Amino acid sequence: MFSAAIVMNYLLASAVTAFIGIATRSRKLLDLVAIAMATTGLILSISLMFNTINYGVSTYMFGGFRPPLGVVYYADFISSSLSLLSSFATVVSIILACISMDQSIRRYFYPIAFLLIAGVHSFLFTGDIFHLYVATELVTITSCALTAIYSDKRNAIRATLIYGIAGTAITSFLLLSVILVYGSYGTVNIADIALKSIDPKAVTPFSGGVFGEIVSASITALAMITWVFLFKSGIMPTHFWLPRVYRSAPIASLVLFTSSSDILGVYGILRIYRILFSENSVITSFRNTMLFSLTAISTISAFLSALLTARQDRVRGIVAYSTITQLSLALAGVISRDSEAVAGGLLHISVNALGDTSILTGYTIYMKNRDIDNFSSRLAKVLIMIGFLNLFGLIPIVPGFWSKALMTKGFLDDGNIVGVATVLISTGLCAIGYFRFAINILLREQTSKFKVVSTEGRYFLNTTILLLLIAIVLGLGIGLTLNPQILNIIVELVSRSIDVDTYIANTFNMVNR
Amino acid sequence: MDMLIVAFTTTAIALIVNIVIATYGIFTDRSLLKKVISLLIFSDTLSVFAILIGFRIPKVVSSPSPPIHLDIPGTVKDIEEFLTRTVDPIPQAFIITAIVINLAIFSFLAGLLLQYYKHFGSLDVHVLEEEEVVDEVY
Repeated sequence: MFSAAIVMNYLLASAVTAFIGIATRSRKLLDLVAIAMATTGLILSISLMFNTINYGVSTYMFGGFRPPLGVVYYADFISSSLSLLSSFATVVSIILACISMDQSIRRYFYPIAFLLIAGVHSFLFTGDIFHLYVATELVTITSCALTAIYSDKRNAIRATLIYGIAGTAITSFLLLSVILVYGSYGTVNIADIALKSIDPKAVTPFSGGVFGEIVSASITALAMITWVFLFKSGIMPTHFWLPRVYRSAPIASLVLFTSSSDILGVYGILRIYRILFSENSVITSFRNTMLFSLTAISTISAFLSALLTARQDRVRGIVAYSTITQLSLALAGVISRDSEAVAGGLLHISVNALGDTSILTGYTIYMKNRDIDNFSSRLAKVLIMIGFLNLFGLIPIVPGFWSKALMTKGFLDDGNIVGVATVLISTGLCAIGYFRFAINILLREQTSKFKVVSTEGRYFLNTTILLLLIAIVLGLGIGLTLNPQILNIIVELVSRSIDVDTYIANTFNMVNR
Repeated sequence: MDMLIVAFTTTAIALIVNIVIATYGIFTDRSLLKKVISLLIFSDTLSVFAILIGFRIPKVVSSPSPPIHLDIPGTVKDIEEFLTRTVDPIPQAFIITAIVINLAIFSFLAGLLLQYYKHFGSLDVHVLEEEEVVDEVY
């Protein structure tokens, strides 16, 4: 029930902020409503998380139609934790927009940002592959709109066109995969497809048995879907759009991208390989070949992007290539056979999002306020340092250490020495870029060539968001350090979430809860 | 009747060839306008492909009919006959959704193309990129 409520909240927020933006010129009302609706989404995501941990999977049948007839939402620990991450990023992004964007732009930013988050949550919760396609399209088009929101910036228009054309073309391959899967399996429900890919003789209510030859359709669909999701997360060699977008989009949009839309590729690959075409499916041999290829791709992508991170000297470049590196590491984790590596990979997605959000928020507030408000400026510097330490991940008081530790332990248990080397070497290479930039910020003089924008009325927002981020990153890291037992609970919950039999059973015995 | 099977297969092959050509256009053409046109062809080809999936070959079914059942509530025999004769409506539902999405996307891309032309005076994707002001906070 919470899952549908979250999506509805964001859709409503999009409509309400669009209406207020058109109907009134009141800046305060628009900001207040946007922050309130983003906070409501965050509260709903927290409720969903507690519900999932205490009572298991949360499900919702649209219109009361039972699966596989109707569209269903399925929220387990993985999707609810990523939902929490996205909702939190939305709050930060909205506050950042209040701080750094012009009033005329915010009127457009809020509705599009809420629409993006509605699409992201639909993607996270859906139990239907056609709905997955619709959510992907929604995320693609809103991401493009958020990149090009300053239409007078020519590089933003250029980046958006390249991303928009490539993204739409590649998402069309997702539609082609859905058509192929429907043509052979006779259903678009993920649990139904998962069941029939394990047992082609299975007959389910409404959809019956399989329609046709499922092996070649599954192979083609798996290959295409993998390509689509690699593109969505900007894993090399499909990364060409990501650095351009990160160099051109507003910072508030970047916070949303790094915490919500860019993580969908890795999450999608996890769902496809663990649930849709699981270990015992009819295409096991091809699936294993694809997993081997994905391991090679993620390793090469992590190395190359870490090298490029080391060469960057601007914050946007560092965040862009660092995101590719961290998502490549997360991908290596989630496709591993070991549950600890999978949990580590998923935790690493959150770590990357928190790290990037900290750096971008700290940097924005530092650049806007350093000559006016020394307290905010110093706090912003602290947040930037914490963000880099979190991405570096070799100090236990930040969560980045624990995600890398979990992945490394998982790779070791699995006998994957290359995975361990990838984590360590890419960390070292990225550290060059991180610390060079961090030292520059620490040593930078107070006078600057950058335009100083008035912070009138924004002091409260600046300090709140800085303190909130510092508390969350350090709180999470210190909590994991003092009580490592939490990691075992996370591994256990993740293992349950990626069990295909549990997924099928929960979907077919579904009640709204 | 065999001619119908040949026509059906030919259509399927033609659609696959269309997909390949459109993909080639999207990824290799220098003109952004031609890329968008290729994308449009690709999307429409997929729509026809989906409709083909739900199609019933007349050789198998004597007279295919649209998925509209008028005899309500109808007997079991009526419903069974209805199920064997009608085309599958689900691909049509997919495509109507995809068409609506594509309308939004192509309108947006058309607007972007206009902006691109306004800024660069060309629709060539390889037009010289400016030095970016990457540290600008906005």
